[in-house]
Amino acid sequence: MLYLQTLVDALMIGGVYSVIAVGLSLIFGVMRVINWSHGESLMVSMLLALYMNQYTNLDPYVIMLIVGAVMFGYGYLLQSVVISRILARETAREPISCLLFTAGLGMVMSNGVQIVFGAKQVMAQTKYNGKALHLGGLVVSLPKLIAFIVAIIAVVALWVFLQKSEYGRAIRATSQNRSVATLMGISEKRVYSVSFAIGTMLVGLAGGMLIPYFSVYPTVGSVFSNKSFVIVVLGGKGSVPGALLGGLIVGLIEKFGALFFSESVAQIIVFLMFIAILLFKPTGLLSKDKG
Amino acid sequence: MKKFLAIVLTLAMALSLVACGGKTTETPAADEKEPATEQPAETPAGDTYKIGVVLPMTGGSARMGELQYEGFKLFAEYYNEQGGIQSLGGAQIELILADSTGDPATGGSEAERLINNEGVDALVGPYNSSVGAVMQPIAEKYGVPFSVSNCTADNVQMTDGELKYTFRPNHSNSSNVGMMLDCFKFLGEKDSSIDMNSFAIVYENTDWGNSCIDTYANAMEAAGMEMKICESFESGSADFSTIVNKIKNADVGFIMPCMYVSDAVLFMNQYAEYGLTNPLIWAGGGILTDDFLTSVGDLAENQISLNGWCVDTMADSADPELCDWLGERCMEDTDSGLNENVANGWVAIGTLIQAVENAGTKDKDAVAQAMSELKLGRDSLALLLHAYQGIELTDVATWDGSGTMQNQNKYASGIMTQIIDGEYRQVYPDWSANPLVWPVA
Repeated sequence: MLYLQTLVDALMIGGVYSVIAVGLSLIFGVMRVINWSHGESLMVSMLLALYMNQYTNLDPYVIMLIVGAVMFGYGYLLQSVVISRILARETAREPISCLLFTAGLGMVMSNGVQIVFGAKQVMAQTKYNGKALHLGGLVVSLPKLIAFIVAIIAVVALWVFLQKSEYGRAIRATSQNRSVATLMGISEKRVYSVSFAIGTMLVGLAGGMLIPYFSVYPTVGSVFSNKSFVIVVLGGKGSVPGALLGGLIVGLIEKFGALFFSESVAQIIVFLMFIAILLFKPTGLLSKDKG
Repeated sequence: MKKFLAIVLTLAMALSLVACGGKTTETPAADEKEPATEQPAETPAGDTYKIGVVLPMTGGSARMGELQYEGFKLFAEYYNEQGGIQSLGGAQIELILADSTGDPATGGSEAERLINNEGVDALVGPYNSSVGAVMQPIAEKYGVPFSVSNCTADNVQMTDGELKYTFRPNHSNSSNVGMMLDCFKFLGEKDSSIDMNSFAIVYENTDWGNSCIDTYANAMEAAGMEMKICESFESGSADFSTIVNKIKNADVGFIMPCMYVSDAVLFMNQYAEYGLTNPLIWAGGGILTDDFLTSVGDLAENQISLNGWCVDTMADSADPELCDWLGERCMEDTDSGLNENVANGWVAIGTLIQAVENAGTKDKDAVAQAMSELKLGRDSLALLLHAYQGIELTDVATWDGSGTMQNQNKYASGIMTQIIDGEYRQVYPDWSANPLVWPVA
């Protein structure tokens, strides 16, 4: 039962990791931009959700959808108004100035939040806090189960959108060759804006679904963003199924590593795997990128 | 566009510096105050006593840093309003804040910056034991008096040589051991259905967390208790489910978590999710903040913890009105009532300033000498919030007698508190005023 419980826990937390990482992966895959403020976007999403929870009677999962929509708008504006201008001057395939910009933006966000709201570490009070399903001897955390289901739906929906819809094909075409895509009549700038917006929307959803069991504070993003980079590299940069697989693998390593050794040792194993992937399979498990 | 990028990055750096530190207390202008005593020749009017404050103002322990800074700030404000440092002709206390981020290397370099660039007369801080362990040799190297406010790891006051400048007026982990073991015995006798002879300890992988193993866990084992689970984790954990499961599947008496706020909140919730019923006896840390109370709601009720402060430690305070004022100011400034972090900050700076008063000079050697000669009673201003019977900074043996903590307050000892009706109340060693709820429901 202990192993089965650990497997369930690993899948639950792995699903959450996936939905946070997939936005990062999408943005990188399409735009070749490493969004270093991804963790801070998550923090802002959690903060928005926390305040909406405190000042409205809405269910946290309704709030999650609203925050997702708000973060879509934020991402669209950020890309179309600011990042596009930096990107327009870049000739490199993987623009370093965008990385620097998002790193600076992340610092503005975390320090700005700390100046305005202080360093308080607060968790939302919802009807889901501390609740779990007890199935025989198996315990399934209710907020994590919901988060897992939402994560899987979001990742699968994104994959279907990219594979089957006209606009998804435009996004994929742009990610493969933006010059040719432009010649085919695809607006590169709009594709970038929508892709960036989808990436931040996913992190918005993640922020909303985290608040019933995770504290919000100015640096909370780093708890998940470091792992997101590992997951993106592991699954393959730009690969949506790769992000899902990577998240689940990291969850499994963490939980079984903690079971057989300790939580501290499990973290070391995760980052050793990160180094190994970079050394021996830099394209990741599922990327079609040739590196 | 390059200009735009430069502006954004500059703004980011500027904002981080604003958030990280550089604050000084707002002291009234010198001409608004009347000097309490005649001005000594070497102390010009409007002079200040500069204290470098190293605290985590960003990072995972930023909230505790923010609260501890409040203790320093309120003392400085109050003392300045009362006329400043009398023996220095009314010199005002000036605080210069630096952000350790909770990182030992950053804390060490900030301490050196405060000494070399800001020219501080003394240091206080730094909350995290790992930072304290790095600041101690720096204070000794530069000969700057350092009043340790909150680090409880024994090693902060230990060295192969002689500590001349580093002093800890607050309690250490070793200081708590005797009281803690007595309390466990008391709990076992109070209700024999609770197994107080075996335990699980869950600790963050930091100096403080490891010192909890070195002192509390080892002391419990030495007392014949069985440690069935000993689990470490990296501070800022995303999930405790496996640790909780391990505990659930072991036949464990009680659990001692050693962790800061966000981890404590997550652990408490997962403990509830997995239906654990083992009593939790916290080693202090994150449970001792209002953030824990507001975050876990009803789950906080009746939780027991090692602590240094609670409303009961102020019961025989020398100035209850001042305590009330401090509580109101603390709430205004930090959205939190008084707590251990504020109280520990108050003790540390209060002790330092009393030494400066006794020394009658800013000279660092003289102040350090005065610190080593201090003999403060229960009614001293430094002990307004704490219930220590006094402050005397001297050699104190570690719990097992294997080492010596130098310049450690020999009167400092923790207490056991329980959260009763949303307030931290003392339940051991003196439990008469607040009957312990045991077993915890």
